[in-house]
Amino acid sequence: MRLIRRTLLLAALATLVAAPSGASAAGTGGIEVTPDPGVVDGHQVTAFHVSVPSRGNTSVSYFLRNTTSHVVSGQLYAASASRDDNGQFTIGGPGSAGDVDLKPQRVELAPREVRHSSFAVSGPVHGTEYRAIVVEVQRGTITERAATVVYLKPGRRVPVPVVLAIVAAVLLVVAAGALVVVRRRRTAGPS
Amino acid sequence: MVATRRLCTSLVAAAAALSLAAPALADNVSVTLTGTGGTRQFSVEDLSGNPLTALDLGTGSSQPFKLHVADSSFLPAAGQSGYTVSATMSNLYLKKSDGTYNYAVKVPSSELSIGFGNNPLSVAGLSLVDLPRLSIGGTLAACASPLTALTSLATSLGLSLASLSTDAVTALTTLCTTIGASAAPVSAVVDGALQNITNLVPTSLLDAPTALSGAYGGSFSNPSYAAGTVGAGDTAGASGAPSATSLTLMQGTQSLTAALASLISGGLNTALNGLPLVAGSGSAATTATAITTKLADAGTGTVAAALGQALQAMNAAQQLTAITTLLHLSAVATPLLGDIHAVTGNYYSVPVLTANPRTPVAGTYGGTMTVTFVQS
Repeated sequence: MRLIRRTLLLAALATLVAAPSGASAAGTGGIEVTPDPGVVDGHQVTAFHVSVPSRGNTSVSYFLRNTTSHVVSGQLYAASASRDDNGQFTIGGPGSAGDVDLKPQRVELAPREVRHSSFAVSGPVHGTEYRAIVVEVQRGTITERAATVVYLKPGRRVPVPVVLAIVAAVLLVVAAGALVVVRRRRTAGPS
Repeated sequence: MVATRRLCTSLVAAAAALSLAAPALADNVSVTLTGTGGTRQFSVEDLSGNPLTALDLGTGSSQPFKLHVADSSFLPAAGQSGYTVSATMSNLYLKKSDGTYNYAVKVPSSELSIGFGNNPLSVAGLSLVDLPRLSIGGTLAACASPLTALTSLATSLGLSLASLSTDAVTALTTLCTTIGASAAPVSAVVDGALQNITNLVPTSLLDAPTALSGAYGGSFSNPSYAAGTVGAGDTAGASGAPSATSLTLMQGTQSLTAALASLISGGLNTALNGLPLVAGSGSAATTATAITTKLADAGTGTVAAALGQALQAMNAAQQLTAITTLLHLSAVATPLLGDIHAVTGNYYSVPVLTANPRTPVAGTYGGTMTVTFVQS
């Protein structure tokens, strides 16, 4: 009976209210782009850090959020980004990042709405390269843009010593197999 | 071979028996996390703080405007979180009566420039949430022999030996043995409770949580023909046109200078002043759990570890009594960047757009200024 009782699902409702923790998002016109996950290798990130495979593509998630209590709208697109010697970024316009699959689009978000979405990045990349995810809001003759930098790095490749070891192992197996075949033929030959 | 098979069969049978016999014990624990949803919003405003939609330069006057970066519970990241605000400008084209532009008649962007007056950068409304690291300490009296000194050791912790559980007495005996014949100082650095520090007023813009600089400006030597701007209709930008000149108007760099650390320390000392080290309810500098865990994690055989284990063997009320009797807050460690959990504040730059009054023909000219905020 005791055992049966213990098998009953116990609902221990311990409410843990954790310390307030901020996220790191940035945007304009009430629209914000937040990289997902927001913590990489134990570190909070405020930009996208993407390892791109040499072949194919990789998917990158993000949150799009309306930080206001009214409807907001703007353009969302991927753009080229270049960094000068002083670390300053120059951000291109819509359609300038061909290897980032995020078509320029108009987004409209309801009050406090949060959307989870993703874009794909195609490889290969050579060293560290930069792109940006841009939120653009047009106000008369003023265009406001908020760009979140996307850092692209080549994905991990199999180290050369490992490749050589695998090739050597395969050659050894083939050689051993050939030896066995030759011995069997010799053994079978005289009979 | 047979023996191996028997062993495998036995293991499988045992596993099956266990899976049948073991009841599905499961506790549902409801976990709630309150996220403050940190944000960083950028906007271009007029001097009153309203969204800027146009700048009328009249017949060639200058017009100031405001760039505003608003952090709300923004969580800074070491080596990241910096931002730059820059501007590009299209040529100004003659407006026709139907509202379209005559792209053949223009004021080149190079005739427009951005400058700055005195003190163009400012910060306001700075506050942050910091996790303080507290230095605590106390001295345990000598405990020559558990047989004779255990009662006085318990008394020195504000407890009566009779009130302690068997486990606690055992742990206290170990503590007594570890202390030995000489008084033993105990110290540790523990995490405190998160503290909200408001009204931070740095003496320099470089000592703000996001150090502010970058009011450079210059002239727009090359125009922008970007899509969505007035310049997009100019065939001169179709191909081969040089990149638009981008002028830096504002820069924010994540930092924790010595002056800011000192400012935060002052705020922490004010916030912690008068708070008990630990408390059963209400505000306190830290928690009994934080202290006991930290002490227990000290090196094996140390007085600190023995004290931590003794505290862990006590009930909550006894822990509070022992800690408040023995330990006190001696100092607040100098804050580190990783201690900062959220920053709120407003960062401003006030550039001034100026146009050369020379125009090819009379009329109204229009163009687009694109202001780009880059979060890196």
